[in-house]
Amino acid sequence: MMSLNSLTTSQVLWKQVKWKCKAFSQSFITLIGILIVIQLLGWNGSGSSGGGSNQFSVYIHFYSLDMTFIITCIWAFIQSLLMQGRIQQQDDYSIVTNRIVCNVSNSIVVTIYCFIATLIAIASFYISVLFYRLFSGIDLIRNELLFNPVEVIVTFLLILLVAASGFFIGSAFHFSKMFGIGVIVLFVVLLNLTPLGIANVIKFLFNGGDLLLMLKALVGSILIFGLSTLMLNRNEVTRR
Amino acid sequence: MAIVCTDVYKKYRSHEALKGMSFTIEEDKITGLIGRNGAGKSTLLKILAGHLRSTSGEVLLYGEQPFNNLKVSSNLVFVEDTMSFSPIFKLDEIFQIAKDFYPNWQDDLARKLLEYADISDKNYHHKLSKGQKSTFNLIYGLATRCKITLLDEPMNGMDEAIRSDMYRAILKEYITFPRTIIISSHHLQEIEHLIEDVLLINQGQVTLHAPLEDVKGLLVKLVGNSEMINEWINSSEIYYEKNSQINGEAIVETTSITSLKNELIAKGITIQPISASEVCKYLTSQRKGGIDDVFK
Repeated sequence: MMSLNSLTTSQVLWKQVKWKCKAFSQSFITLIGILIVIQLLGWNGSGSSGGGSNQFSVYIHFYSLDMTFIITCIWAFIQSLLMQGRIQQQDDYSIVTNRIVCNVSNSIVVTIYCFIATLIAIASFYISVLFYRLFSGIDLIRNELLFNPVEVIVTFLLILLVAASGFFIGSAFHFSKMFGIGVIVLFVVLLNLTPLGIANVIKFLFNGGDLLLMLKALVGSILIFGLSTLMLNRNEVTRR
Repeated sequence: MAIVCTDVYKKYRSHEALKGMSFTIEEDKITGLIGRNGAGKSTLLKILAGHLRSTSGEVLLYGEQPFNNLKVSSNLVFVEDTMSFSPIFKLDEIFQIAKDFYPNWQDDLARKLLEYADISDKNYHHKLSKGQKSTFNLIYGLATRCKITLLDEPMNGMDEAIRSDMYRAILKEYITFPRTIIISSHHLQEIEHLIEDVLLINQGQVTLHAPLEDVKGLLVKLVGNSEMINEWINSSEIYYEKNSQINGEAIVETTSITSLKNELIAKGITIQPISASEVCKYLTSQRKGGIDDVFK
């Protein structure tokens, strides 16, 4: 006679993270593809200015991570929104799972993906600058450290915060379509009610230095992931 | 007891799918879950699998309630039409994932059965035909060797040949590793050789839960002059009747004619046994007349 299996939550969680990391890995191809196109089209947030007098002239080209960062944020938002979709979550019920494990493993996968996406974004920026250096012969002057770990962590946590928002909206739509629409409407109304709208949110985030910004983004992300998990914890499975 | 359901109700907005369902299923038995369309078979299985929550009542699987329960999930597999897997994985990779999640996973068996069914493990689940999908889902369910195996119309879409092979595969797997299996079906005659018990449900309630042998002898068919049959049998005991001077028919409970057997035979009325499948059909029928009555 067979005995009952007993798998612990951490065992199942680890196994799920492992296969989900693989299951959604194709999305990186999309991200890399978009970033290449952005670099090729020159929409990478770079610019130039120049001037001169009789004896000499100066042209300054500046390269920034801004556009790459925005693109990565949009990718992270869509990716995590889709991951919380009803169809994706149905696959979980063909293996060992419960609602908490399913949503927590998704949150972990989103976090891992955001970290990899941050590295891809930063790498694409360095590669594009390197290409300019090699092929245009322009001398580079770095205005900070060549590789700034704080910059990497801040970029990662901000991407994670955006991904968590996508995760929440995806969960809201999974919970109920009407609720999802309600969340978006509420978000838009709240932004319009407050003077300066989204500028205030950005001001709140960036006001107070790098460490506080990291803390705000991290706590915000954990809260949003937790809220999404809680929201779907009593949800029923409907396969169509 | 492997499964205990006590007064289970399930309500979808205005529609009540289960209405106070109570039954127990013993460990390591194959039970046929029989019922008409909309009887509540799938809803019941989904509640047992922990996919749905019962509105009220208690459901226990090995002493644990199934909703949101990891222990139940690791000991239960629910095979249904709409079972889905990540579209990025080939069947071969799905087996590897299953191996990781189910400690009793039978990789060799799964691959052999898949090869027998002529399905390549390089295929993707979403690209399989309906019958192939059902075959794969069933193979997956059997190979997990879960203590509780729920099969919701597992043969949907399969052709005749693979269908009988798969029934045989279920039986062989059960003999090798006995487990609690519930198979839902509209067609009892198809699974008669497989099941030990019949759980017949109708309009969200348990109509009958008995061993298959008992179900077979539950009703009999009386054939003869209708007036004569009605003379002997109380109309409230008739499940189905077809009025005719010569070949009238009436389906009645075997127990109701035990004492009248000799008299009925003497009056020229024949007593015929009916199959378990027909018993289920008549027990869940809403009217005493057949389709012919509609055209009268």
